[in-house]
This record gives sequence, structure tokens and C-alpha cells, in this order.
Amino acid sequence: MSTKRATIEKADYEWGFHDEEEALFKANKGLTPEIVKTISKMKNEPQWMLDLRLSSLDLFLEKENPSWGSDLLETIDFDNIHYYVRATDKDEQDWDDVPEYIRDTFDKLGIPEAEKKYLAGVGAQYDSEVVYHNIREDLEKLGVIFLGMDQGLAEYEDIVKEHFGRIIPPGDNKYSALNTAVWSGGSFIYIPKGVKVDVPLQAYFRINTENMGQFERTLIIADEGSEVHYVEGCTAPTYSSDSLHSAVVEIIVKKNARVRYTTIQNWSNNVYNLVTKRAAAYENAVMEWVDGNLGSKLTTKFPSVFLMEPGAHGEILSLAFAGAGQHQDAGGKIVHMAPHTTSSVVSKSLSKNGGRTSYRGLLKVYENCNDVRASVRCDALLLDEGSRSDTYPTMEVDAPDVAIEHEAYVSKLSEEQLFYLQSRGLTEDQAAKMIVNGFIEPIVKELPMEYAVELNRLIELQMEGAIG
Amino acid sequence: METGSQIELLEKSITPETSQYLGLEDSDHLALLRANALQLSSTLEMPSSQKERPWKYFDISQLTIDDYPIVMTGKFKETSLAKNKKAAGFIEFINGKNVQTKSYHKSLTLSTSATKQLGQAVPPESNRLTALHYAYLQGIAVVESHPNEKIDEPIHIEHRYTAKQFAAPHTVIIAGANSNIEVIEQFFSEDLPILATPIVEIFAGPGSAINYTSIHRWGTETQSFGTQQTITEDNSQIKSLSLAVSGKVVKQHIGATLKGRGSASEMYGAGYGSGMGKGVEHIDFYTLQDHIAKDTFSDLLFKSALGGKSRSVYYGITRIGENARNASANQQNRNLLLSPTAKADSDPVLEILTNDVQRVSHGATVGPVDDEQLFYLQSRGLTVAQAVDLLIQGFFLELLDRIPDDQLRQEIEALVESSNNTVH
Repeated sequence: MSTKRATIEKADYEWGFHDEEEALFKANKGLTPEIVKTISKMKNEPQWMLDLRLSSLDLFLEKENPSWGSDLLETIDFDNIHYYVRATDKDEQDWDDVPEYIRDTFDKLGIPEAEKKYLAGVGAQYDSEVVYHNIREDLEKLGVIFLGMDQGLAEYEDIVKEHFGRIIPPGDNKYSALNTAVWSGGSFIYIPKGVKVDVPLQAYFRINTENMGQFERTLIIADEGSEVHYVEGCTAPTYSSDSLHSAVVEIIVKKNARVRYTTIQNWSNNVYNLVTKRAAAYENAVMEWVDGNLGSKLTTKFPSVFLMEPGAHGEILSLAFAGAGQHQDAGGKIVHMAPHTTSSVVSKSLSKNGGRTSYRGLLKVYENCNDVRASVRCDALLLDEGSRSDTYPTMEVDAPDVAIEHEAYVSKLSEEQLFYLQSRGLTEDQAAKMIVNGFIEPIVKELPMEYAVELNRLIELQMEGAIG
Repeated sequence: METGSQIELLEKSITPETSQYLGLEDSDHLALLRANALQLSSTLEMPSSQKERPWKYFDISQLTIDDYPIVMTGKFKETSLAKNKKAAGFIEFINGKNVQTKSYHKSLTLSTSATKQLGQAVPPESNRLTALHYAYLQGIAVVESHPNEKIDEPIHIEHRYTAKQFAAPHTVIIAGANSNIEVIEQFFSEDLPILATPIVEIFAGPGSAINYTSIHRWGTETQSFGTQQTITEDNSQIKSLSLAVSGKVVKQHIGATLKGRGSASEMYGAGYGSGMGKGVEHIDFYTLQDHIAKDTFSDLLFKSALGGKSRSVYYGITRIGENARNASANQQNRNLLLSPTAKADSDPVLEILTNDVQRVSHGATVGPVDDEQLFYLQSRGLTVAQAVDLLIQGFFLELLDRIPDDQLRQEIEALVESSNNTVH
């Protein structure tokens, strides 16, 4: 199969190539009940899922954008989006069977390399379907389920039906309703009791059809005493008109289990990335979100942890970088619904070339939830004039025996530090990069090595010409 | 409470006729403002707790404004409110009627008629509540310091309300260039349903320094929705202290527009929530430190101690505008929870639109009294109740110390202490 490459439309976007589309099925633009029915029919879904999709569609049409959100939300043209695109007919089990042009795209992202090293399994989302799956045999033996969401629904309907939309109900917000109506792809993961997956599970996502929406749906269930680290990285080719990405990720962390969910998001600068992510952590469970937001035109994403039972711990590490024309409206929510729960949020944000970063958080402690400890720390670095940084750290505390702390600092690149480093022989540019690397280090060190390398490289690219 | 000796209360309902009647003796400026506001009060809506963030935790649209009459009467016997205080001047009102105005300082002008600045910092068109305020405005206090004069003693303004009503007192403070002035304004009411909408407008002339303290000592059924707005000229300073001592609802919107280069705003506030007949049931502070000019400085500290079923809301924005280079800002909110049913909501917001900042920081804490400190005090022979009292006093000390009148400070400290006693 031949591979034709379009010219790179925006030189400053590193992954700004795209293959010409070879989609086997592409729904018409716009959103109607017929489109939703078609999606469901193409996927041979059970009736309850179709009913859920249709009722969610009504909710989506009913609901308005949140009043507190970015003004950019109002600029989305919902009628000009494809809500379903399928590139190949069925999931491939073997890398060699994956169509060459798609493999070529992933080659550029370095997936096969990563796999050779220590990928546990790959659910690579090319357009709206998971096209590639490879679960290492030892994981299969342990009973770990790692499938595309569509396949998960087909093979484990009972589990899916029990948990789908329970953590994030369709009516939670406008975009969770949209996702529930038109979801396609995403991952379905079940880790059995006591199983500790010691290598990160990874999935690469990629938008590849112009004006195509990407509405993946991920459900992770970590049974009692299990552990898993899921890594999601996104890169998308640059297109001339806007794309909408609206995912929903639901995670259930049962008693004594531990889940870490890492995202490196580097959508091209025309993508609206409106994601709802939420985890429920039960007794003595630990849920960690590591969330890096670099690309997109607008990202609205507040990973949440609901601490449901005593001993649960929630942690959110958030990194945002906003360049020209970008608004990173990111942060996190922690909801303490039980006593003896703890949480910590650390946010680092960088704004450059007129970009805007917002930390938007919620820390809620319900009545009778005593012995709660929570801290929120936000640091922002503004790299040049005209860039913007906001902090909206809402705290609602309805219980007395709690210790809640919030701190935030906003600063510019310190001239003193720059001067010191230059006096040690670094150029101004190198010095600035070094300071920025130090600034984001607390987040980067939590990433798997190859992601840390990639992130540092991306930040360095973004930093080019930051000074002078 | 001392109520003076007012006679003959005349009540009228909130109608356009009442507004027109109130305006019979208005100056041209105020007449125009009032007529315009009356018009607006029928077209504008109440702030929405859904759509307007400062109103998120109090749904004012549920209030039936028509339930509150306007109290109008002009007849008083002499008042017995003369104070034994050191003061540069007094302005006193009962039910919105001026009963005493005295200036003891040659560089100070006190007046109870509208100046041209009235309405410039807080325009009537903000929402229906501000429009209603201007339409039914009664009780204007204007304090003006002459240029280059330092007035050492504070000016006291007092408002007392003795009947159910819609109250709309209005204060304008104008500091002439390079002058210094201290104003203490107090609000009192009996335990009656009163809806108060105090507005304070402060104009800090170039190089001036203003110290403004407002003390809300409302009765148990009074709901107060106040607005205080300062506009600064170059190198001026405003220090403001807001104390919510008692009342059903004390909601204060406090803003400083730092448009003068090198100007500074220090905003402090404290609320005592007990919800047990003393203190305030719902304390709600919204602040905006708006850095517009270069080299501006702001500091902010709001504290609340909450017992019973009381609730405190703090929502504040520190905004560093695009041209506010070399600004420096700090914003802190501290909440002490003293009972299992008290609530505290805190949202200190930073919006920073330039990178050329000195340093901007904010912080917030919510928690109970510190166990270790409690233990220490008990080990020194105090009972738990005494120890808690002492810790609460300590908690508020840095704010109450800012009251620029010793006698009044002791009075407020005593009030806080007796409020605390109801907590446990």
C-alpha cells in the first residue's frame, strides 16, 4: 500500500504530517439521532447501549456550555464535525497485519520502538477504532483484560453494563453527554484481584480525518489489591479547520488497589480537547492522575478523584504549557466523601507567546468527613509579555476536623537566575531552558522514562526563541 | 442599643412614587441618578447565583424586595448619641435620616448631600440591587479631606436602623492630594428584618493615604449586601478593614481599582460566624484587587472563625492587567472551623496578564484550632474552653489591631469574646 504524505501545513508543529484518509466508513457531518443509530448499528451493539446513546444525545442538545468556562467553547461548530470514522474493518491482533499506511504513521510516533522495549500492550487508536491490539502473554495469563472499548462491550457486556456511565453519568456535563452519545474506541481494562501489572499499559491516540471528532471512551476497573499504570499519549496532525476531541475516562479503584493514569497531550493547535476524567477510590485505594497538556487550541480537563471510603488517597500532578493562541484550562478536582482521606494537587503551568493557562480546581470536603488532609499547590511561570496565567482554586469545606492548604505563586523567569547561569557560560536561551526544566521537574520525574524524554524535548521545542 | 429618640415612623412601600418622594430635595446630580436607577430597577435582574460567581453561595433572587418598606420620617427630638471619643468629626444617621454632623477639623469637609462623585465608582446599572439602592437612597455621608492635610483623628460615621425596612445608606470618601484621612463607619440594627444595601465609594487623590474601617454590627434578622469600591490616583494608598461582627447575612463586595501608578491597596477583613444568635450566620466576602497601572501593590488577608451552623464564603480575584508591570500582590484567606456544622468556602483567584510581575502569591487554609497549641495552653492550666477562646483571640489579633480607635477596638474584642462563648 502506498503512503502519500501531505505537506506540512504548519512548520512549527512537530508531528504536523498526515496520511491521506483511507477511512472505510465515515459518517456525514453533523449530529442527528440517525447518525447515532448508524454508529450503534455498525458496531452491532446491544439495545441498551443504543438507548443510552440516544438519551445522551438529548442531554447533549439540552445542555449549555458551563458559564465559567473558556470563551473559546462558544466557537465550536458542532454541525461541521464527523462523529464517526472507521479506518479498518476489525481490530488487528498482530502488528504485521496492521495496514502499512497506518503503521507508517505510528512509526513516526515511535510506537514499534517503544513496544520492543517494554510495552505491555498497545491499543493504538487510529481514527475512531482501535486498530491494533497486542497483549503480552503473561498479562493474559494473569487474567488482565486490555481491549478496545467496542470489543470490551462485545465480549464482556455484563461488566461493561454494570460500570459504564456510573462514575461519569451522561448528564454530568455537555461533553460527557456528547461522548456517551457518539463514543467510539478507547480502552477497556480490568485488572483482577491482587494482580500487579509492573509495566505501563499504553495507548496512542491520533486524529487523522479532517474535521473528525474523536470520542474515545475508557473504562478501567482495578479490582481489590491490584495495581496498574495506564499511559495515554496523544499527537495529532495539523489541519486547517478545527477538530473536536471529547473523551470520557472512568476509573474504579477498589479496596487497596492503586491506579496511576498518565496523559501527555500534544494535540495540534486547532483541536478542542474537552475531556471528562473521573476516578472513584475506595478503602485504602490510591488514585493518581499525571496530566501533561501541551497542545490543542483549548483544553478543558479537570481529572477528578472521588474519595469514597476511609483511607483513600488521591493525587493530581498537572503540567500545562500554553503557546500562541492556546488556552490550557486544566486543573483537578478532589472530592472527599469519607473521613480519614488525603489528597494532594500539584500544578505547574507555563505561558508563552500570548498563551493562557488556567488552573481550575475544586476541593470539596463533605459533612462528617473528619480527619481529612488536603493540599493544593500551583506554580505558574510566565515566559513573556502578553501571556496570561489564572488560578481558580475553589475550596468547599463542610467538616471541621480537616487541614486544607492552598498555595500559589506566579512569577516570571528570574533575571537573577538567568544572569547566574549566563555567568557560568550558558547562552540566554540555554539558561531559560534549564530554568524551565527545573520548574517542571517535579512532574517530569513521575513519568515513565521515554515520556519524560519526549516531554523535555517538546518543552524545549516550545521554548525555542523564548528569549530575545 | 442606643436608638436616639426618634418619633413618628412613616412607612411607605417600595414603589416609584416613594422613590420620587425621596428625591424631592435631591440635587440635580442625584435627581438624575435616582430617576435613572428607578427606571433600571424595573428592567435589570437580580444577580444570579447560577451565572454570577460572586453570588454562587447566596441566591438573592429568592428575596422578596417588596416585603421591605421604605421608612421615611424627618422628626426627631434631640439625639443622645454624642460620643466621648477623640474624633475629627461625626456623621450619624437613624433610619437613613441625618441626626448629627460635626467636623472638628478645619481641613475636613463633612456633608450629607450628594457630591458629583456619588455614583461614579459603583454605577447603578451593575444589577437590580444597585439600581434599587440608588432609587431608594437615604443617608448620604460625604467625607472630604483637603489637599496636603494630615487628619490625625478618625471620622466616625454611624448608621442605626430601628424598624423593618429596605435600607440604602451611601458614603463617599474623597481624599485630596497628599492628604491623610481615617474613617470608621459602623452599622447597627435592631433584631428586625432589614435588608441593607450600603455602598461606599472611595476616591484616593494623588499621594493620599486613606484608612477605612467598616464594622457591621447588625441585628439577628438583618441581611446586608454591601459594595465598597476604591479608585486610586498615582502613589495613593488605601487600607481597608471590614469586620462582620453580627447579623444574619453580611455580604460585602470590596474592590480596588489601582489605576494610579505606584498606588497600593491593602484589604483586610474578619468575620465571626456563630449562627447561635451572635455573630453572623452567613459571611460572604467578594474582593477584587484590580492592578491596572505600573508599580502597583496589593495585600489582602481575610479571616473567619466559624461556630454553630455558620458559613463563610470567600471569593476574591487579584488581577494583574496587561499594563500593570512590576506589580506585586499577595492574597490570603484563613478559616477556622469550630463546629461540626460550620462551612467554609474559599476561592482566591489570580488572573495574571503580564509576565512582568515582582511576585504574586496567594494562599488559603481551612481547619480547626491547632491541637498542639490547644494542648500547650491546657498544660499551662487553661480549660479547653479558655484555651479555644484565647486561640480565637490570637487568630483575630492581627486584624483587630488595625482598628484605629482604642476604645472601639476593645469594644469589638469584647463582642468577639462573648460570641466565642456561645460556640461551645
